[in-house]
Amino acid sequence: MRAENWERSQTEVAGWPVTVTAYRIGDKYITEIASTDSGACVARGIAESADESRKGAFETASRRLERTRHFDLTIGG
Amino acid sequence: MSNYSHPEVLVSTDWVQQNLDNPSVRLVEVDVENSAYDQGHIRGAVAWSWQTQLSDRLRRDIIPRDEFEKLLSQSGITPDTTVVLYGDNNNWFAAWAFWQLKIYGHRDVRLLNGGRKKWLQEGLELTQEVPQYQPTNYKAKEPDFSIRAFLPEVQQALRQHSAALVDVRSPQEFTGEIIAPPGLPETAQRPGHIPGARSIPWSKAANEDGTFKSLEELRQLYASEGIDGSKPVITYCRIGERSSHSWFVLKYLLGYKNVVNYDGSWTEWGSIVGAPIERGAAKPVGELVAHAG
Repeated sequence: MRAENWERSQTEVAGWPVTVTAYRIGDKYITEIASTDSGACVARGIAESADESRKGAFETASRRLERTRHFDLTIGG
Repeated sequence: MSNYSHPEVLVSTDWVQQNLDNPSVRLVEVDVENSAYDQGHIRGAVAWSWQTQLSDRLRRDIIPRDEFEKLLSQSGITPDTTVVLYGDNNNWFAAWAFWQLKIYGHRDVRLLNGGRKKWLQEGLELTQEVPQYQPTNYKAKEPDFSIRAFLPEVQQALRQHSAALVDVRSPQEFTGEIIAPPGLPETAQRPGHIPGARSIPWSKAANEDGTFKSLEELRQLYASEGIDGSKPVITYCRIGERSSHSWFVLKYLLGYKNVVNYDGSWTEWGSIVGAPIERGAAKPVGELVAHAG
């Protein structure tokens, strides 16, 4: 077995730039979403179809990215 | 790879393919946890989880010597084994494992250049078969903490300007706009960076496919921020894994002699009562040098 149908793209989720990597290993479809600036993996979806994998990964990524707080650099403390 | 200062610590995907059946080589996939490994890994590779096998979560520390010996023994590794590490997340946790193996004195440790991403991207063979190796009785050396910075050393470096601090997090983490990478838990109390630190994100040392940039590109990258090996360097990030990646670059690819990884990183510094913090962009290099002088 090997990784097949490797695809990489850029988009935004909850206002954050993300890198989406999708591929298939055997009968599993995998979608990984990483925040582009940090490179950290935010979500990983594994499913029997590409659509399900993508949907799961984006739902998790949205939930996590929406929680990220922005701090106002002009305010101390 | 040949013109790096220590080219022997990097192997290519071709090299790994040629050594899949070499009994003196042990492949180890190092991830945060093992779900990626379970989907498919390089034949013969064992899995190490950063969360549960490389970190002492009770003490927030690297694993103690006896646990390290147990892990390597279970993996069929002897002190003479060539350990080749690779992983997801751009080899961050593989680089952490490299650093920890060096702390415990393992002689021959190497990173697969590009890690899991490159192996998958090239469509190379994977398996779900978990290998079984004859356990060994691995004996580690006394830990060498000369490559690890603890909080007092960072505080001293800040007071005495005795080392350059390299913050390898994203620009938004550095300025203080966010505390942790987007989507990940905030594990510090305050955003910002250690005063005087240079912002050199880990990702600038890597190509799109996860491999390391060329020697000249790396030299220029760090030199543009005043990091040229003439002064000790302390790398840090949020929890010490991204900074292990940059520590590896500075120490082994560029060959700078005195480079240490501060694994306490922002989760420690950003939570200490009374610790000085700066926010916003870094000062220009010239201004920083004048201030330090």
